[in-house]
Amino acid sequence: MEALWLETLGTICERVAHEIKGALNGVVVNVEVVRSRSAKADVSGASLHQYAQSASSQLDVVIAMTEAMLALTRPPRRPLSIAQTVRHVDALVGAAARADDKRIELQGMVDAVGTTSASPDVARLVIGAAFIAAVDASTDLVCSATPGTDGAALCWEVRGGGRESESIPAIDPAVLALAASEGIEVQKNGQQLSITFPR
Amino acid sequence: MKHEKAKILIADDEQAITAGLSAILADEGYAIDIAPDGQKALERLSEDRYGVILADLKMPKLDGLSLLRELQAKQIPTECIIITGQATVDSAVQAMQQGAYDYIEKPLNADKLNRLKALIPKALEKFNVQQKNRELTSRIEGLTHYGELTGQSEAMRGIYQIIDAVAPSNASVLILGESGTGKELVARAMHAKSERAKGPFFALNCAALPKEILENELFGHEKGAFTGSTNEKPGAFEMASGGTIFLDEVAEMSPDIQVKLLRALESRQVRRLGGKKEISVDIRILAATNKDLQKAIAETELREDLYYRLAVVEIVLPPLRERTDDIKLLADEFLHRYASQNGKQITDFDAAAWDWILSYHWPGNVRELKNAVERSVIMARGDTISVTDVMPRHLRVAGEVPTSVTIPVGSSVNDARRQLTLRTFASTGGDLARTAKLLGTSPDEVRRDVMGLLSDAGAGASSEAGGSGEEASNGKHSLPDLMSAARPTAPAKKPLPKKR
Repeated sequence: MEALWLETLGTICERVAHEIKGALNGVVVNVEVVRSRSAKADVSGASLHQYAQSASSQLDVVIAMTEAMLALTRPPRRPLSIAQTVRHVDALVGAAARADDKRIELQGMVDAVGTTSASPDVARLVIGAAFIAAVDASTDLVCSATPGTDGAALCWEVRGGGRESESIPAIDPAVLALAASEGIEVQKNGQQLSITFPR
Repeated sequence: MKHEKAKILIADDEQAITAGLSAILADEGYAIDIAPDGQKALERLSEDRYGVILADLKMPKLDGLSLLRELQAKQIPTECIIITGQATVDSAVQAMQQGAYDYIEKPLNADKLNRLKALIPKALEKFNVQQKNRELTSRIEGLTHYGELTGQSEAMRGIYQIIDAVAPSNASVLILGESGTGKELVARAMHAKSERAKGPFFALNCAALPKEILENELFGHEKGAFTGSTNEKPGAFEMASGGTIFLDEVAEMSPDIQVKLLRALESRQVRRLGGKKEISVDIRILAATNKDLQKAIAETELREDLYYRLAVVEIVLPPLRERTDDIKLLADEFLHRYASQNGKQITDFDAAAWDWILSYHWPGNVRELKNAVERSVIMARGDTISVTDVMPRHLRVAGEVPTSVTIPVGSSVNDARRQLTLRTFASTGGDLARTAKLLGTSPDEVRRDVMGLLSDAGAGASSEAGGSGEEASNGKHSLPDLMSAARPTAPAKKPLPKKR
């Protein structure tokens, strides 16, 4: 289980590294503009605002990614918040995919999906693996959720049916075996991947 | 050197970085454009000229390496600085191998930005040098004239490029080439293109002057240096100081003058004949020769150390026969020049004249062509020049007389002797005494050889024509007939004369 999660985390880090560096560079470069221009006597504070603002917003991006990364590296809380985990993975894998011009939409219902009684480690692993598989399949994805009393369902779907080549790839059988042992149902149907978590 | 308003393109999909970078570089005085991906960058570079492009390796649509490949394939002139994350240093090295100017690793902190600021002027310098070179090459490709030189052949364009490259330096140049190829014109063009153009150009023909006079011309003399030297006289080195001296036929210079010349070249100081003080001179030496220099050095006619001093750069001028593309251009130019100078309404050569001009091997090179055209303009009566106007007299009599004799392996000594005699006889225009002198034999021997061939040729000609052989026995063969009979390259048409 631990090895599978470390492998998934490694994949997430690899994908998001460029985005973190890019955002950090945005901070550094814009701070440098502010630093060098503010040293000149004839420069007004207003003219620096744009660059200070840009540095600040890039810093927000770095903070969000760092927080998501830290959250995923900590042991998960019991019961696991499915929505929060999806948001953390999206802040990293989704951000990297969006930088590659992919369209990833998380529908509002995701936040209402609640928690699961399944092992938080396994549930988190399944969410991470499913998100990566779905992002690899298409350039245009939508993630929706169905809260229910018996179980909560997450579904990734290639928007508009997609092309034939855009079928969601298979998830590692070892992950699927762990999911089954915890009562998590994973169903793949061509361009759709759905996961049902026990309540 | 600051490149004010030099144009730089930033290709990166990170808006925060491009905005910050463009502000930093705009503060440095550059004009900045931004492309959000590699494809857009390529479009911008195709439409406009940017001295430098800063390209992120990882970009949507077309990444930095692919962009670099496209730039190379489409020969778009720019210098590319790759910006890369640490994890992609291998790719950056690959980019360098593909022609990127340099690369900078992220994060772009203050140190890296300072390095970038230092790199850009160097990249722009390289771009500007290459840009000038490209402009020069394209200008030279369309050139038919360069200074007083005329020619648009590849060989001459190569010469123009060398002159352009070498002229601004102070390097000594040795110009090699057959007589009449334009060695002095090259020297004049080099002087005119150099920073010494405002100074004097002093040309001396070392072969035309006796040793003492040449020494005097080069170095000058003090009053009373020799009998009759009532005044001091500065030499060429002094008079041409700040300019250029052109020493033609330099290999003909006597050995002791060569020593003095070498010393002057090394020390940039000269001493007048009879003088005691050294005079500093600021001079550039251009020299020329039509001699085989390896042979001249081997036979100690030319000092090897002087050769190396003179031949810092060597320019070898092609003979006219090796740049036939230029013959028409030159002939046309000479025709119009001399027609205008002589007040004649001559517009062209006739077809036969052109055939002859374009097929002749011009052993005297451009000078011979120039003289032939000048003479033909003077002699011509109509508005076009005929082949008889342009062809030199000795060739009109004898047909084209090659300046060499080819004797096939296996020829007998007698055949070889006869061919040599007849060719020489033809080249002198039928002058027995001169032929004998050239061959180191007697006029009687030449006469015997010639008469013997006349008999043989006459018999052959009569036999071919079905005639009686009377013409030959009367000795009425023309020189072209003789040449034709003696020509070894056409044995099938007219067999070589039989042994007597």
